[in-house]
Amino acid sequence: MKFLWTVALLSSPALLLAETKIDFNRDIRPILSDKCFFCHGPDAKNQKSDFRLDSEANAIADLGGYAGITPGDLEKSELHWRIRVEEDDVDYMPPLDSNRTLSEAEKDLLDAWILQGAEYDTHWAFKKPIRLDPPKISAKNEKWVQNPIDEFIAAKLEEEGLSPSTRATHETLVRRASLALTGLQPTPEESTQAADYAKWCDQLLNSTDYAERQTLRWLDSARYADTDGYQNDGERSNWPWRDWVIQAFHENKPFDEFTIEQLAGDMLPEADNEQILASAFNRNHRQNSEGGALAEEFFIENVIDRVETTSTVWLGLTMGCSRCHDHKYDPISQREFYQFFAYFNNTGEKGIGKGPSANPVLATHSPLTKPSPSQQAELDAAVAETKKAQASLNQRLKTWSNGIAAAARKDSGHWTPAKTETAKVIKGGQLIAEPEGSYLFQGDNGLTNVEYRIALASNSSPITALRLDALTHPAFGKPRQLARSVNGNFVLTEIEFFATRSGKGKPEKILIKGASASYQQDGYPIDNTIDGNPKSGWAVSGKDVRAESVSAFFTLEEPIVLERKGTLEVRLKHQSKFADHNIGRFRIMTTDQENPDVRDTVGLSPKILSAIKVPENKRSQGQQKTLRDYYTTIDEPLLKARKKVAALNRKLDALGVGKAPVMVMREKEGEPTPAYLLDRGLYDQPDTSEALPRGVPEALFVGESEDMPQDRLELAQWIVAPDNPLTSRVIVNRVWRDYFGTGLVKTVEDFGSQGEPPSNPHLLDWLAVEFVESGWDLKALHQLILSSATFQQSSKVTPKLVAADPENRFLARGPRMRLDGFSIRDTALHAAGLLDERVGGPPVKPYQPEGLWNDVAGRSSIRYELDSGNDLFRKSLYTYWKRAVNPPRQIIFDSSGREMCNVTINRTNTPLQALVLMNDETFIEAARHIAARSLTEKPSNNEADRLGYLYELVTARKITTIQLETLTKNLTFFREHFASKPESAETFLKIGSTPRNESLDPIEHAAHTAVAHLVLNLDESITLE
Amino acid sequence: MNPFHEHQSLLSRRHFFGKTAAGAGVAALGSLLDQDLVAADDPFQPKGVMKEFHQPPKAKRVIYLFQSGAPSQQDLFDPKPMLNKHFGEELGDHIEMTQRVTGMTAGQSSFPMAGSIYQFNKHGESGTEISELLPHIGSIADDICLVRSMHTEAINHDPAITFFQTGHQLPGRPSIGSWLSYGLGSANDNLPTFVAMASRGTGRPSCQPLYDRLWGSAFIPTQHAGVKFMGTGDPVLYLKNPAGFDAKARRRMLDDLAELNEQKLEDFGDPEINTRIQSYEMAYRMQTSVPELTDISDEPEHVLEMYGPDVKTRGTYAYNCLMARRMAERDVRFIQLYHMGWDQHSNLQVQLPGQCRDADQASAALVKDLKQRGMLDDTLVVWGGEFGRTSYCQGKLTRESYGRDHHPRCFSMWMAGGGIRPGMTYGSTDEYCYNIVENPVHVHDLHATMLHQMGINHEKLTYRFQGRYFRLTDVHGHVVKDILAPASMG
Repeated sequence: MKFLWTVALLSSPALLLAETKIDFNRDIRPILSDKCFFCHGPDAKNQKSDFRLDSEANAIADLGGYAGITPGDLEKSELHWRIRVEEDDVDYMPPLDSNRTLSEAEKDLLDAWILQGAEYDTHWAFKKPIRLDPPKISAKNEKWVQNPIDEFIAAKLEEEGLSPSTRATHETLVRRASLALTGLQPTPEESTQAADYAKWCDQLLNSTDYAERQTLRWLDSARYADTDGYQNDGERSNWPWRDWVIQAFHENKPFDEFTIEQLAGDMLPEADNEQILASAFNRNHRQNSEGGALAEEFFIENVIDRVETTSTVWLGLTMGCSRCHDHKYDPISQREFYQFFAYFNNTGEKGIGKGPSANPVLATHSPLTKPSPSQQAELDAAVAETKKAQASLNQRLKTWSNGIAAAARKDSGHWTPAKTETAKVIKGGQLIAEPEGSYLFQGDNGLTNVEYRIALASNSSPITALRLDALTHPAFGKPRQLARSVNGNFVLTEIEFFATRSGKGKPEKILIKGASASYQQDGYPIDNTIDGNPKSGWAVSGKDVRAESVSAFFTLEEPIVLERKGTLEVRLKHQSKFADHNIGRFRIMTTDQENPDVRDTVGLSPKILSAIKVPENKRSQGQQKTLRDYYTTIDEPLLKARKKVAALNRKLDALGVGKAPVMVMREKEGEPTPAYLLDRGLYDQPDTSEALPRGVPEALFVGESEDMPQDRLELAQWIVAPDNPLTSRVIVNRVWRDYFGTGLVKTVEDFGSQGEPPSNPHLLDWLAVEFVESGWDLKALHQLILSSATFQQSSKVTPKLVAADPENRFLARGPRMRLDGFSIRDTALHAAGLLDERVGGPPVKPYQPEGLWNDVAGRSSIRYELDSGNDLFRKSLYTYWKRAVNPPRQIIFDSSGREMCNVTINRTNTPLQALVLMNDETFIEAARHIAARSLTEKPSNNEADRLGYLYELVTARKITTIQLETLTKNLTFFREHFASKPESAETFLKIGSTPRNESLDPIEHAAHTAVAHLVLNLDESITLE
Repeated sequence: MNPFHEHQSLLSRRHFFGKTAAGAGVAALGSLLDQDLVAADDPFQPKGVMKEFHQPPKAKRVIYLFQSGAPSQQDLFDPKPMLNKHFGEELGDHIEMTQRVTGMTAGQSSFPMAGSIYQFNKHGESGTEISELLPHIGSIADDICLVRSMHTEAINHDPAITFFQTGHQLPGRPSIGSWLSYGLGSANDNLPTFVAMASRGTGRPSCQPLYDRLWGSAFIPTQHAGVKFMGTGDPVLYLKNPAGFDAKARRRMLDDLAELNEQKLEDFGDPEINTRIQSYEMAYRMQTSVPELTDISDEPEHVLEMYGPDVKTRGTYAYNCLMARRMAERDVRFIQLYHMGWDQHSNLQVQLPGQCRDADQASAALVKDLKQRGMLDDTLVVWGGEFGRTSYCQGKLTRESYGRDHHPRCFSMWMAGGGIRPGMTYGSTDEYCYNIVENPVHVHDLHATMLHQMGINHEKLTYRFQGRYFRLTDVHGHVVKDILAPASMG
């Protein structure tokens, strides 16, 4: 058998291959990794076999008379036999049921490698990049070269027998650079002015459009969103961090600083607000506030999310694979995973809760939308006023308590909490008795028409009036906190009293003389509760209200006396259409006074009343506190000052320049939180026998330094240390991908063993070293690529080129790729002159199909509240990102869902995308404005000129004769079409929120709108080429 | 050709130009052993990454009736007289409680047993015991296979639903339907391959929400994601022509668009342009095919009556069930329904009857309707939630009022058609419904079985991403052979 094989080998391609030098990293590692490592790789603990092919020592070790590999000797190499034996042999590798097969070519390569000595090599990405001189190229290509990039590319093309494409037209390049850098197209004026391509690129790089576009990419990696995700998916406000990123790109903050501040800005010496804000990068993870979620479990998930995100974004590694066991392909052990984890688990966070209060949280302005100096001064003055009012509060408290004490002793002491027999809810819940005679409502959510029936027992004295205190509860909706409704407001539609004086017989309705209340909402006066009309009621919402008890007083026509077993039933009806608007917590009191004075003691609980009755010098500390706490809520000067601060803050919020709570990192002081290896990655299976020291995976620690980073700050510094083999390669690769559609390493998310080796390794390393040596200068990197002849090639495709290089990996032509959903919308709004170019600020809600949130939301009350005015037309970067229901336009055009870190870009081409462009009102409204521009901005009355201008507005190109023919035909058709249906033209022109230019003839305007809309749908309008 | 599946990303262009698309998750090829169910010219022939079935398929399509929130098995499918016998007694006195509990009942000092207030009746020849709340499902007892031994790992809704729909508790994995779409491709040329629909329960209108990811495609290209059919507005987002822009205008717009795009194709040669032209034509066909699909005026009254009074109201479960049947008739491969509101932590006696009113009649009607059309044999219907509920009461227990917390360790689901054994009850739980005592079925097993019935070996349908070969069933899952119908249903 062996003999036969040897004969067969004589004619094997392996011998032919043996003449070319095999490169382990390029030719062999990908095969071993993909086909063998799963069972013979780094995860030795979980493999059936001890034999490992990822380690040279193991591969060549003597296995008892034979070895897996005997360098230079096929016959003595078990590997060779195992892959060459018949498929049905039990020894055949990879086994048939492994779903892995080796092609003949791969088997030949492995054989040739063994014959050449089976040299192993460190994985390419774990070796420090070295800058080599650009390769020698042909004289013809020398002429084509603009910078070193092109020399590397030309050499590759020569190897493949290809030659570069011609330079694209100036017009094409101006548009291409604009779209690549800013996601926008040049306007016709800009196109005319941009005579110098290099200058135009500089101009683009200095624009805020550039910073916003780069930020958009970064947000995907940073899994930035405006909601928490998970079940409740409540709103958060991390947007000031997004603005920090915009600012950083605009200032061209060196990428190493950019990195350190985002990973550990909070730990920098004397970190300023903005550096702390930067650390929100690692708090953009989802945050669970589901009832019943366990804090320990989701704390672990948050930390692991940081590990996965950080290792993907900077290191291009799939460290998450080592959560449950050693990595199957890369030298990252499970233990090392949790050592890395230990850098990120020390913020003292709770793991569950809502984002805006999930500490550590920093209330901060956006660096881009701070208040103006005068706004800030006004706010500071108001805050100072509050402090002044607080300082002088004690004096006023004294005056108040003295003044009211007498009244309290004399008049108000008579209000006594009523003794209740029963307290029932008609349908849907129950009343729970609480201290001081109060009741708390419990029941289903979303109720309407709730009625309470409270039977009061006799207390032997006559009742002249009743008092209803609605009380606050912290669980109720803000600001009022008086009911379980969204805003804590209630509507009491009717109150009725029924007496059973002797305890027997038919209850008798008691007449009410009058009602008054401590507070009533406009349009909802207290009198509504006694008007017999179930449609009117008393409510207590209003401007500037806060959580505060309110009282209502009902004087009876005749005092009523109950016998010993008699009862007085109070019926509180809540018949409004609003859900949950029943009083959440309340108390009923009665009095026997003839003319009860209700003014001074409104809202005072028995506890306060009893404290106030005690002479000032005899009050206990508790009583003093009770009074002070209460008085703070009613002190006029303080309230006035606070109201002013609140109003100013609201004004600043409305202007988008207020402060917002941002989830940030803040290292805990004292002993670090210990990190343990979690068995199978489960939060409740820590191996507490050893608290793991912090550390980065040994295989990556290739520099000269001997000390592992000790904390998160040192980790961040290590990530951007010149020794780090991965970061610079990973980052330049992603920048490259943004220009050409595919990275030099295609698997931008995986630089490990299973990733694709670089298509042009020396170019990748050259760029990586150049990037670091430039001082991590991103704009310089962009300039380098923009100025290369490679980027400036025409992107026309010939059948020959497609056949030779379908994915354009060798770059014998320029890039051609569909724009993303953000850019597609933004370019349309820009062409229409609608795009609002304000930078930064809170997220906005542009058009989206009605009912989209409601269809799947937890509560039917969750509504998408469409913005108005210019907020409808801000860049898509600012569109509100809800994790449970993503903005439909973006997701249909392949954006990531922002639930977790994503650095890959998909580009599909589906009918749903066609439907968006065909029917979304965004594009119809934009078309209407583009049409109006073409009809008004060209002085010439020439139809061809107008259509040419229209076309140029949308595509940033000059129209061709043949295109003009089609558009003219199209215009003629729609002119006739709308002329025959003028009402359709009117309807069509009404789409969108902006007014139409009424001076334009509706038929002409509608017909041009149809043409503009057609142009917006063109392949070339939505394609970077 | 269906542009949902005509390959779109540049990678696939290799295929377009006649090279084999190597790499990305090419499933190992098995031979087609059974030509009976899906003939060679049948639209259901695999056209995705799989060019042949791994094994003879038993089902051409799946209708998954997901009951979101977790229906109570003790009150619906798994009678437990012992809970009534020991009503109010501490569960912990009768069984060792080792299952972790959620934060909602972790603080409870007492775990009293709550017997169901509902009667169970035996149904059909099989004698399957089903609750009085589900009389209609009772009437199809002989058509379904009731599995009483489901179990899962997650205890909170979000991770648990995500697990059921994607095989993983955390976001970032493709949903079941997108795996099918990726593996098998489309069976029609004017509707999506994978559709998702949601309805809100009347038993508990305020409930936990659903998320895009549940029908998303994660790292598999977007054309394999489920298309959400909406309960309001356009059934498919952006389907309808703009106001004032009629079909004639649309046709003209598309003709001129195609003309201009073809000019571009000639000039630039990028095959993506051709795909774009196709996509617009498919979009146009959908503008006709979807309204046809949703126009139920051709349904006879007696059929509508089967589904119950809500059937004509868009956004209801009954309406969605009827839509599911109409989609099945139009060769949509995977139809995913969600009915929300099955999360009865309290007031179960008020909420559960409402949920059952929504779901009972329409679920049963769908099975009957498929059967009377001869479609049940090759349509797999799956019914169930994301975990089970506790036998102890959450909150205050009275004879009239109780609630149940989450219990992942055992719960019930049922399946019908698609080569699943009818009239069968599979697996059982202990008398306190705490643990499974025989034939446990894990979420991964359910997935493996669903794929198996569709002709897919769950270990062979993979997608390579981040260097790993991902599967719906991760590295787990066994086909539950015991519940497969013995003979081919042809």
